[in-house]
Amino acid sequence: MKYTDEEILKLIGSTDRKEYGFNVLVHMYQKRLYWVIRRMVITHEDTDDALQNVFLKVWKSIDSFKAESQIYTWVHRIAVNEALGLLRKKRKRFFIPMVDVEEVLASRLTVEDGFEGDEIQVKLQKAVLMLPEKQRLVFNLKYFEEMKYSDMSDVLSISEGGLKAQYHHAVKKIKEILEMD
Amino acid sequence: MKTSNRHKDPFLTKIQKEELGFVVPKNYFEEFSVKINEKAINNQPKSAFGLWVGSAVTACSLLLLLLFLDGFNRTEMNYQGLVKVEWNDYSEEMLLELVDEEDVIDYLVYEELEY
Repeated sequence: MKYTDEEILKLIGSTDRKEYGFNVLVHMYQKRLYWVIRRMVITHEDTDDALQNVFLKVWKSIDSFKAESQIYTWVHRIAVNEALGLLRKKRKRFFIPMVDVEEVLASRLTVEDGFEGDEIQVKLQKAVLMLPEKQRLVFNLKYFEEMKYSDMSDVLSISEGGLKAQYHHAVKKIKEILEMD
Repeated sequence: MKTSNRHKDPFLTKIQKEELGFVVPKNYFEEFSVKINEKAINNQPKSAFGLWVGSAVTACSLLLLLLFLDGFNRTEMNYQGLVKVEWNDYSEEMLLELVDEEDVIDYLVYEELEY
């Protein structure tokens, strides 16, 4: 059964059905958020950690959610921030520049690390990992999640025009990388 | 031809875009919702209790630290005072200089007379 934002918020707002409301929210968004994070951090373990943090943050701050934006955009924003935060932590931990983290992530596109894609899928993921972080995020949300530019604009706080330009550049770069191979 | 194009350019098709090679452990999503509920909902009272205990322990630690620092300062002052007293009044060298054998005999005789 699908619930609207109003219905979820109503459930969460009531004292006796708050937990049920949270369950509904988790069921509705866990898969989508999982993939948003997974495409950014690559490994399942990191994704699982980040996804848990996302829902714990949602649970802690749900009472202060003022419904000025949709739940969909709100939870996506938290997930995106969590994924970017995790990558930032990795960068700090290893004292290495951005490109190296992406290289490390690309090296984890193996069966042992939970990636069983064929050759072209590996190439595509590696090409995506070669994009700058923000561009990668825009590409993932648009191409894989098929998120509307208007929603993406709310999530990333970037104008729709800016997002379109970023996506266009990302697609161009990926095509070039794939054609080089 | 269509297949080869699809492989050359992933943008021509959107087949299996969701997973695209990434493997998710079996039943992960079913187990995830249970796990997150346990963490978020069931642990909430424990978290509150933990917070309370944490605050109490922190407060006690601060108090003990203050008492310790206070006590340490006092000990140091007393110690310094003791050193001064020992040095000024009971130094062996000074005693040897000030008190000779006759003084001791006089003292003992005086003590005898007293009793």
